[in-house]
Amino acid sequence: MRYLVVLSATTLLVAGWNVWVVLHSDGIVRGQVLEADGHPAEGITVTFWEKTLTTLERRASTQTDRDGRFLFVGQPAHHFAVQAERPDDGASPRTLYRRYFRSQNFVLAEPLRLGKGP
Amino acid sequence: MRPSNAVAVHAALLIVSAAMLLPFYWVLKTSVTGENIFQYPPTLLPRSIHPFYYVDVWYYVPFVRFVANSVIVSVLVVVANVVFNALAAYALTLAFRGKRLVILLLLSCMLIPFQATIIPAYLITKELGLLNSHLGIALPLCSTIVCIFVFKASFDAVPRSLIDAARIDGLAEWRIIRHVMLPLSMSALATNVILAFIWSWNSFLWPLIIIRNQEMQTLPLALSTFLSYLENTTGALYAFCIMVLVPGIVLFLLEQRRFIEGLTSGATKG
Repeated sequence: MRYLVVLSATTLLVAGWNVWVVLHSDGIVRGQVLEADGHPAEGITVTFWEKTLTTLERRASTQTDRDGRFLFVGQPAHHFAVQAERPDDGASPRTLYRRYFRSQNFVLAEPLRLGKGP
Repeated sequence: MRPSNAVAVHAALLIVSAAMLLPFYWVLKTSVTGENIFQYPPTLLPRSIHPFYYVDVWYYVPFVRFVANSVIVSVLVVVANVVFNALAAYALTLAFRGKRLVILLLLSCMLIPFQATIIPAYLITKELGLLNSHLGIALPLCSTIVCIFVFKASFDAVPRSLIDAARIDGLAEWRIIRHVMLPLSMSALATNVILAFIWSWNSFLWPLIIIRNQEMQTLPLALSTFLSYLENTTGALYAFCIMVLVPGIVLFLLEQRRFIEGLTSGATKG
């Protein structure tokens, strides 16, 4: 009976988790970039970096829209960094994020803030 | 026992239990916080708990492959132990010439550490063509003398009249073991299963010697490799430790009553 309960509970948990993963794994990463003064930053290059065992590897980059929003699709990394950068005019810190599973749809909790230019 | 004595005994047991469980708690805490184990002053309660070190372990190494290897080897070892040990123990309950010598030989073999026989064991495994295979990893653990004596103690407690009745009914010897002895020795069976599982699950030295590629690694070996990759990432390392420990602990918790019965019956009825 104990085996039945433990195995059933484990199977249910694993099955439920896998269903959740399948439904929420498009590899989407959303966020927003703000200027140093708090206004949305348009046309900023945002770069997606994957954290590997030893280093950060550049995987993709995109541009922010009029509201400073950006979107990455199909990025599976579970441990990654995102950085917003305006050439020759400042960048946000390269911030590390973690996902509970690969390709989890993810929204950055805080907007990226551009720093002062060099 | 008087109430005051009971309180004192329970207090002492609590202190001893806490002392024994503290290292496990520390490993668990580090695995969910990543706090450096050497930090000073140490903190007893975890801060900012998260499961991401477990996620790291799951994705940075082929964890499912390692689990599958460990499970295959453990199943082989458990099945072989139950079959071979039951057969050997049943033979030792029968009367035959040289029985004392065989028992003495088995007991004396327990004094020889496995490390001393590892080179012959390696050569035999190589001759059998089982290097770098699951069966090769399982081979040295397929029968253990301690477990033979656990079965023997339990079989000795079965009334002879029952075995005689089974013989009169025409049961073959192996069917007597299967249908009479084993059902009456569930505690010994559970002890065999748990000990065989834990020994094979935690086995490190033998797999280290005979495994040649990463795909065949078992969990303890993979943990060692992981340590070499991430020597300063304490959180992921300890998460890996917990993931290796959990199956053995769950199995023990499920069968602890029978396990303790099996060991104590071996101590009192032998």
